[in-house]
Amino acid sequence: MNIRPLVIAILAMAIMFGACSGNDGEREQQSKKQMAAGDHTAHAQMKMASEEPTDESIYNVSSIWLNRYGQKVKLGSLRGKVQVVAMVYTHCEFACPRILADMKRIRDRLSEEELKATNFVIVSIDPERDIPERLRNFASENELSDTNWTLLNGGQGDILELAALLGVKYKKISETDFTHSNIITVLNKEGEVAHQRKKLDDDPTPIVKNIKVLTS
Amino acid sequence: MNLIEILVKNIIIVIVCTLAVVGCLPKQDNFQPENAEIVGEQQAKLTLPPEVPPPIEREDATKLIVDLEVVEKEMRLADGVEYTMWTFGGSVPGKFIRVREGDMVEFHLKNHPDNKLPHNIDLHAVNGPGGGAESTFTAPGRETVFSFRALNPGLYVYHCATAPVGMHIANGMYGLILVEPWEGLPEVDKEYYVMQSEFYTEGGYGERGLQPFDMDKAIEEDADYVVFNGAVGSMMNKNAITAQKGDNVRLFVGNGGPNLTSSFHVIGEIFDKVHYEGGSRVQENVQTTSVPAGGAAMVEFITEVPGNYILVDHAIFRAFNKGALATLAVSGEEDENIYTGQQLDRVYQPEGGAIQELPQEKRAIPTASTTEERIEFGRETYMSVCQACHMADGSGIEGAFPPVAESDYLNEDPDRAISAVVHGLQGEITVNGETYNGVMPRQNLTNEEVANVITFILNNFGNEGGEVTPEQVERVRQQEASTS
Amino acid sequence: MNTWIRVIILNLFFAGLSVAALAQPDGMARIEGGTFMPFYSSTEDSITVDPFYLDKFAVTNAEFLEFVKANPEWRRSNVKSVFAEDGYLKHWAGDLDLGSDAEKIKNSPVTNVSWFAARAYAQWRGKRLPTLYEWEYVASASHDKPLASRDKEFVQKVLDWYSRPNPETLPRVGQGKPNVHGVYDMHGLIWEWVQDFNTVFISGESRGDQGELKQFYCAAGSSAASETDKENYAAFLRFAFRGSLEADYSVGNLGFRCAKDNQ
Repeated sequence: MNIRPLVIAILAMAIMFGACSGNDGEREQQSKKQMAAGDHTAHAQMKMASEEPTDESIYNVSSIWLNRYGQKVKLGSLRGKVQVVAMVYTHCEFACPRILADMKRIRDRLSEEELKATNFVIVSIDPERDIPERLRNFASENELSDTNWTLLNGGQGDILELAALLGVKYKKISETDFTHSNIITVLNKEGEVAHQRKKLDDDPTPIVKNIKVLTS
Repeated sequence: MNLIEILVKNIIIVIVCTLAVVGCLPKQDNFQPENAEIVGEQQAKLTLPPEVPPPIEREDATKLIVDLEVVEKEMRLADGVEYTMWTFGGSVPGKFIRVREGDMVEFHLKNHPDNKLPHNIDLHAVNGPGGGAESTFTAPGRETVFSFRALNPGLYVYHCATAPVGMHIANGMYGLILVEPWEGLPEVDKEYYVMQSEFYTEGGYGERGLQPFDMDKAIEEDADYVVFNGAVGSMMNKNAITAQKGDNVRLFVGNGGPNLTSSFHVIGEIFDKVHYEGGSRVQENVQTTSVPAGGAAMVEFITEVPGNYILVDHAIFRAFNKGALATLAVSGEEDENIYTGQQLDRVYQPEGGAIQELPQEKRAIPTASTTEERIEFGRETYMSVCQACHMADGSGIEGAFPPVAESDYLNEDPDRAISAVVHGLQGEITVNGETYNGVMPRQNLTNEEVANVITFILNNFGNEGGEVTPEQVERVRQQEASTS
Repeated sequence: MNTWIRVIILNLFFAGLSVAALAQPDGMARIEGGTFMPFYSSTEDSITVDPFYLDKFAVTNAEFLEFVKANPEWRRSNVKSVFAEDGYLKHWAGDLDLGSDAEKIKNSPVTNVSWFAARAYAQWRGKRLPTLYEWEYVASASHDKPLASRDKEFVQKVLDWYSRPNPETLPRVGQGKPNVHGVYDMHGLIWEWVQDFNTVFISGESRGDQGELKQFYCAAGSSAASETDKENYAAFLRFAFRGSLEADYSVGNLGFRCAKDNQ
């Protein structure tokens, strides 16, 4: 078909959605999970101070992880900030560098204030090679500061569980490589999935907008 | 110009203007469906085949909510043959969806919790990845939603696109969605929904029981059934689609495939108009139109002459051997100005003429073990062999074909009826006080089949009951042809 | 003296028992392991499955009831929604109540359980969920052949089950014939969760998966989603089903069985 009307339609829809989200930040959430999570947002803020994670929070898991310094970390320790999470492996030469670059681009579009309330998390799906030392080197090579970046190494079963919670698929396809979803997930301060960018070529604007709403 | 002339002229102008406005929205210059303002929302009314939802008369584009539920269930494929269909809305083909150019369609796909498989939907009317398939991958017991703007008017196929796609389509997952042009389609008297498709079964055509899908035949494109609207005879006899003489009839014809292209034809009609491939261009005066797998066409014709019109796939073995037959029954007064009916029928006997007889085909005829079975099997034979002349209710046709209902001729001596079937019957007979003088040709049926069909007749249509056995038929067969 | 002998004999007896128990955990079949070609293979090569143990039967409603009795956080009213969506155990009448059909369904496989719940059950039993390859390997066996996925009759039988809608109540486990491994109901009863169900890279747009996937998945399309046997529709249906799932889903015909390492 003629491409022009299509372009106009997409623009029109984009404008419409834009207008909607101005009124209601939750509207543009796309996945089913996020819709469910959206209902809980107000609820979540109310319960902020309490100990028990909310029903939709991924901080309900009890798994223990190692950070780049080899310190034991529970996911619940991330509570209180908006988290931008990707599951990748540091030896990846395909999409992971691009995902990391996208996370940095997202970071660069946040104000200082927003950045204070935001943290970026890289969870390795390759725990055998991405040991804390490797993560430390990777962080310094890519200038991932302590204040805004968490890199995690965990057990196979715990990685699988987290992937299931985030709807991430991954699979080892050779001695050195994995295939995996290119998902970037935004968790609200309670650890509930609030937004996901599923495709590499998706515009980062919605994810940035979401973070801005969640940190405010 | 005198006063009357001016008056008449004005009246004519008013009439012309009114005609132009009634029945459709004015086509705006440069109407852009993508920019049409969405006013309010509405639930789309979907219909089961062969019905079509009424034309859209809204004045604005709207948010149109379409709810479609996937149901997996056993359904009739032919008499005595069941098949597990995977359906959009409980029927094969799926429910008919009618929207209009400019509408924003909010599509809800619901996968019934009792279903076994995930499903999705690809609507050919959608501009977007997968035609919606990507957005509607739905596990059993879940619902997915996406929205699309109806940009291109036309008639479109929808189908399931979940892996393995071929199997989902072969099991019945297709239907039609019409995107009316903004200004509407020209008004007609009747609209019907007809969709062709094939089935690939483990048993051959007509083999009884629940028939599973045969993957090898599907890959070979060796169909056992080619049918309209999901089953053999779905639009025959009392289920025939109907029209009045002089009606303008529009058929929305789709082809779900999965493999075969249809040579769609209506015997005895010429399509006045065909929107070929379901698009905007109109072809006129068409006899047979191709409807590709995953494609559609809109055909329109005026039913000038009453009678039965048979819809076929003119790849003709599919019609008569695989089920691609349907009936459009047109009622009304004869019009000899267009069609006279038969004017002459007399013996034509060239030298050396011999009566042709097809060799008795070898086929597996189920043997009845009880009277009930005999009646049941006999019903099928009656419907396929006798019904054309003696009518579905056994009442016959006055002056031409005697009734078999409440028939004294039959009840007094069933042997006479057997003889008529196995030997044929010629000359004057009296049935229920009426005299008939016609010819009944001998029927190429086995003793078992004759016994079944006569037993069926004896136990139906207000007759006095009884059972005829194959042995009795054989005895009559051995006797001379009766020519009373 | 006599006593000592008796004690030794008894000890030997119990030692023998525990060796037997070790060799064959209760209700589990030992799978000898082997090599096969799964339907969706990530490599060009066949896959080797190491020896392991697999439950002979799918986990039943009665067994799952024991689990939720012992683990209140997995009861219907307590479960965190992040681990199980609304339909969790919806065919039960209450938290600890199988309902009026209890007698009928207690030995039927439990369904409407999320992956998280299935996994928690397995851990509670000291077991784990089988991997996708383990499950597929055992499922490719018929009652007389270890690898029957090219056996037309076997494949057609499996396919026939996938084509039929669910019965109103599921029959009890273990009614059919076991396969060569001594495992029952791998086909014909329910779908089953596997540990790594989310390694199936089938999207809703299955027809374009090869190209389109590159946007969604790193390194996909190179070798990740190459079907080895396009005609094996039975396995194809299974993989497509897994592809439609998320870990918190509760589906009416989806249950599980447990596995255990060979140690």
